[in-house]
Amino acid sequence: MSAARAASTRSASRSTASRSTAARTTSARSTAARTTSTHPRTGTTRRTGPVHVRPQLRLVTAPVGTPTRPRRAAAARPRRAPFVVLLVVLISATALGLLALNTAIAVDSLRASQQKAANTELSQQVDRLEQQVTTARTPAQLAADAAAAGLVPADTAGHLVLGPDGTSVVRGAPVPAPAPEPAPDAGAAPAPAGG
Amino acid sequence: MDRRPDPSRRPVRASGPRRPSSGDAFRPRREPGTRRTRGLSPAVRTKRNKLGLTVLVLLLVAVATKLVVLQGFDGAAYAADASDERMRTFDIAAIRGAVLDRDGNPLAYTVDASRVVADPSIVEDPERTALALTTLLGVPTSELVEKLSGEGRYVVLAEHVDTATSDQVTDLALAGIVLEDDPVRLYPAGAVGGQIVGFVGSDGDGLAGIEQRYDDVLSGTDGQRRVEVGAGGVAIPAGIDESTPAVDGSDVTLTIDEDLQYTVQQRLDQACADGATTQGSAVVLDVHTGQVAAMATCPGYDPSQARTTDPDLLGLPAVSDVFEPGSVMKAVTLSAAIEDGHATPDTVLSVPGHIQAGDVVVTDAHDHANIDWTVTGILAKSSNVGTIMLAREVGDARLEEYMRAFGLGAQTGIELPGESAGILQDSADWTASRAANVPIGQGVSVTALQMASVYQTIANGGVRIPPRIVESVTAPDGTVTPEAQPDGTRVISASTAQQMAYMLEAVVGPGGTAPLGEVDGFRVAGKTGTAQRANPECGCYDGGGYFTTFVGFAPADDPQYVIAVDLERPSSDAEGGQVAAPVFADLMRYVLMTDDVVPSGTARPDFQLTGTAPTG
Repeated sequence: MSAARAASTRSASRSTASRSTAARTTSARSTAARTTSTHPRTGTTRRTGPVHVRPQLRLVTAPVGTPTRPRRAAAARPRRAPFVVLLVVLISATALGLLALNTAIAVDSLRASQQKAANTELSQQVDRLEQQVTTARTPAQLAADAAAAGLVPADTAGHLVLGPDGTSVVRGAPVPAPAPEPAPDAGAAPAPAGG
Repeated sequence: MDRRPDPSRRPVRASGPRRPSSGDAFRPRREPGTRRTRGLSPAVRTKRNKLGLTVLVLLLVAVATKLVVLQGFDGAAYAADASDERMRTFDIAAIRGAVLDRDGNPLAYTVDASRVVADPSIVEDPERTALALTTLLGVPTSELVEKLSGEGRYVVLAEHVDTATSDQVTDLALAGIVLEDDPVRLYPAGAVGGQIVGFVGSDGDGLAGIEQRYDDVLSGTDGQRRVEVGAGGVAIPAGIDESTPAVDGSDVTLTIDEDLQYTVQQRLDQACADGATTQGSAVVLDVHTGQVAAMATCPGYDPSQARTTDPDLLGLPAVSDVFEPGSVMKAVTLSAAIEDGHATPDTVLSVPGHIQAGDVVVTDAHDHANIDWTVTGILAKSSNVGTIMLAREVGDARLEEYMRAFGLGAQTGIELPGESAGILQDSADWTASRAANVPIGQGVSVTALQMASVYQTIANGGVRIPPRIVESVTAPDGTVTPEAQPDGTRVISASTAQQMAYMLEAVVGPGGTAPLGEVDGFRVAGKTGTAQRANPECGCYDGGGYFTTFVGFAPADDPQYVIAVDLERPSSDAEGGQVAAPVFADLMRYVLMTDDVVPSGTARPDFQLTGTAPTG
């Protein structure tokens, strides 16, 4: 009995298809008739097992109008949508922003390493040039170059000392430098000063 | 309790072969609603429950234990491993400081260079790789192929490869070829000042000269960079980046003048090439500061070739080797005699040709009859006998005091490794013959630097300033820290010093032993020395040859520079006035000219070398 009511309630609450409700109502009617006809036989049978009681169906009227619950859900939907959209937009923006930032960092890092390499290259170039200057400025190199250019080491210097009255005296014993060798050999070792 | 389904039994039932499926998978094992009538007996069921429980508990314990071990005990190690996986450490090599002359010209400096290293297990084609590298590295192909196809994972192909070449190697992008930092130490001046500067070993540690003595200052502190790297070994831009910057070494500025040093080295090399001189040293000191303007010994060495040079040559004998100075020591003896009032330059002594001292007889260079020499004459003629006579008036103990005050028998404290203190015995231990030898510079050993310092004292008005060779240390940030310059100590009075300068000038004058020590236009004071050289074969003086020396300063009336020259001549009997004095004169001429020293124009005094000895 309770099962029959439950079934009828369930079918009633299914508001989706009124045509199936109608169909089921017809079948329920025939089932009810059949139940009535078998009832005496059942009454005489000895109960040996569980009695399968058929649900007793009856016709109910479908509730009028739309149910309240879906209406409430429908009413909430327009309020929730902007929030969801906002979230989606935020998430997308964050993802895009991160992507952009990462790209920018990667680009900057690439540029930084390129600049660093260029910097290193330039400083190495400076080092190389300085090294050339240093090598060319050593006394041995200068002496060799000077000898190659036909210069000779100075001997003793003479000093012209001016007196307070404008007169001058030569101090020291200046000697004219010896004439350079006719064909200075660039590879020859320079003569030592005063040697 | 009984009706509750036992989860432990369910898999046993399902997989157990006792109840084979009857074919219909959907048929229930018993009618719904019926009670289970058959089944395990309670005893069996309890046994199984217990067994199952035990297995489960054991598994749980195992898992828990492993968890504790992982997290608690090995946790730190695993975390470190993980961080090691993504952290790379790069060394940042500190650039070694430079050694500069007093004008800032580099005598030693460091430049970037690379070491080309291969991992043979990665190198794909040894022949092709070798062909690509052979011209760049200057290593024969066969040698490269052998190294590249060898065992191991690390083989050095070339060291000290300059940056231009290493860039080309990088451009080749060869598999298994890696570049490492390998800074190279350059000595642009080569052998000029090489003995002073010293050299570094293959690991970059200073092994001689300033490089050794100032190793801590020059070497700096290496830095380190720890970065988080990605899969390709490239640093992650925003990752962990812990860097300890390298602190570069400081520069050391010497008091050396590179040009003068070059001239000194050239002149000494010339002297060493005369066939008789095996070794020669020269020291140039600034009279007023005691600073070394140049110091060299022939034969010298080029620090960049130090590894292939005879190890015996890798020193600075001007500082580390001692010799018996001979007559140049007479300046000390006479200073003591004048300072203590035993004589003046004009005191006249009747000097015999020889004098008995204990078991030996000391003679003058040439035996002679008694000559009435002034003290000036004794010095100018370098009379041994006259000097010993004066030394006996001074007394052994007093003479030793003066010698020690002049800095003999003790290190000068110059900033160079391996300095010798020389040998000066206590006067209490002097025998009679030793007491006669020491005043004339035998039986006492000095370094060339000590001898120069003695004459610096006389030239500087009697104030001795210990010689120094390092002017300042410049930190990487440009802070200049001058080295502490020692205070001068007065050894003899200014008047004694002046009288000594006067007498020493007579040596290069007419009648003196060293007219070749003269410098045209300037007044020069100095003293020759010709000391017997101990023959290392017999430990005696026979056949040992001579140390010929000349020490002097100029201008005599306003001294600027002191130069000491000593030449070791084992196979020659030439005297210092003939051999060492010309070297002195050439060097003195050069240093006076380049330093723009103007001659005073005054004439050299006329010296009275002989006189009339007071009778009685």
